[in-house]
Amino acid sequence: MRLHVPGGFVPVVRDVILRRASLERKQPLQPSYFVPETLEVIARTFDEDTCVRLIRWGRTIFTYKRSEYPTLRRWCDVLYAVAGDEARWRALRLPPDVSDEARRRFAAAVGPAADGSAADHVGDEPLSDWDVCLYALRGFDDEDLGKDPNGPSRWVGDTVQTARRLEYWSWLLSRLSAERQHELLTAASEFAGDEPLRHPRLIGIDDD
Amino acid sequence: MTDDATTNISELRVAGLVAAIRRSHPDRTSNVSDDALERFVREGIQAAATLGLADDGLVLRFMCLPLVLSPEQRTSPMIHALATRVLDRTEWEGRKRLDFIYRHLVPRTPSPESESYLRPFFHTDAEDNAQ
Repeated sequence: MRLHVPGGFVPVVRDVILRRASLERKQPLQPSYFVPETLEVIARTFDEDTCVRLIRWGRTIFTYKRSEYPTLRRWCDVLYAVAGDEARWRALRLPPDVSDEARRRFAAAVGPAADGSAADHVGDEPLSDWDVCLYALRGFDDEDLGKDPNGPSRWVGDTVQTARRLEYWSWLLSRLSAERQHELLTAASEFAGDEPLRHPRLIGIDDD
Repeated sequence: MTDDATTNISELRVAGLVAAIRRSHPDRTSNVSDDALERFVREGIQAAATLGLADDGLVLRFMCLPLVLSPEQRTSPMIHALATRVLDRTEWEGRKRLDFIYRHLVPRTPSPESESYLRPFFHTDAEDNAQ
């Protein structure tokens, strides 16, 4: 899921979760300070950089709802619509030294994970005691194949997908000058339908 | 339907479930009298009904839970609490609830150390007050 944290991070966060669960059982109507408490513990146990990294990851990669990151989603939809047709892909007017690799990398970014990502292995192993508690308490359902299933596989899968796509756009935009980025916007807008496409430099930094 | 017919269906149902339990768990029922097993089945049918379990296949799986769990599992606060939570999740169909329990709880070996750590997730207020 592209969250790089120090060793010992998970037990620290779990301890906060358990303290919160105990407190909620005793005082169910009190407001929750889970988020600031977690950040405080992380900053105190590790360092402020770890805290900042977690916040940044939560805001820019972690995907809770599939409607998040609309600019990223729209740009990927446009490329997906043209990637299967040589003429349509050429119509994006990417530089010759970038175009073929960009198309290949895009296929890899949106295709099944080739690196055995975590999302592919949810459900393979027996649940740990921690996991079975969360599954039972939250009603997680690995059998739910609906649009927004209630289960960790959705968040893991969606977050991995977001991370891969962001990596792709980071690579592509690094290969395009400002002028070429604008050309891409103009060309891709022909395939975007009625709703205007935002500039690709805004991918990954927009909110809902 | 007459009262007699209802009673007969119920008796037939009880007898069928008793037989099914004896077939599937002969080691646990060989020393149990017919009367005791019939009481067990009747109570199980009533308990299953409160959970929205009506199909005899599901009722049987539900009633057999105490028979498939080891003594350590039966006394595990975590397994008991989580099984109760899942059974009460009536927005899930009965099959899904029992599948969860059989898949994730029945094979589980209780760990006192782990359960002590995870206690805040399933420790009840009644147990807090008793202490």
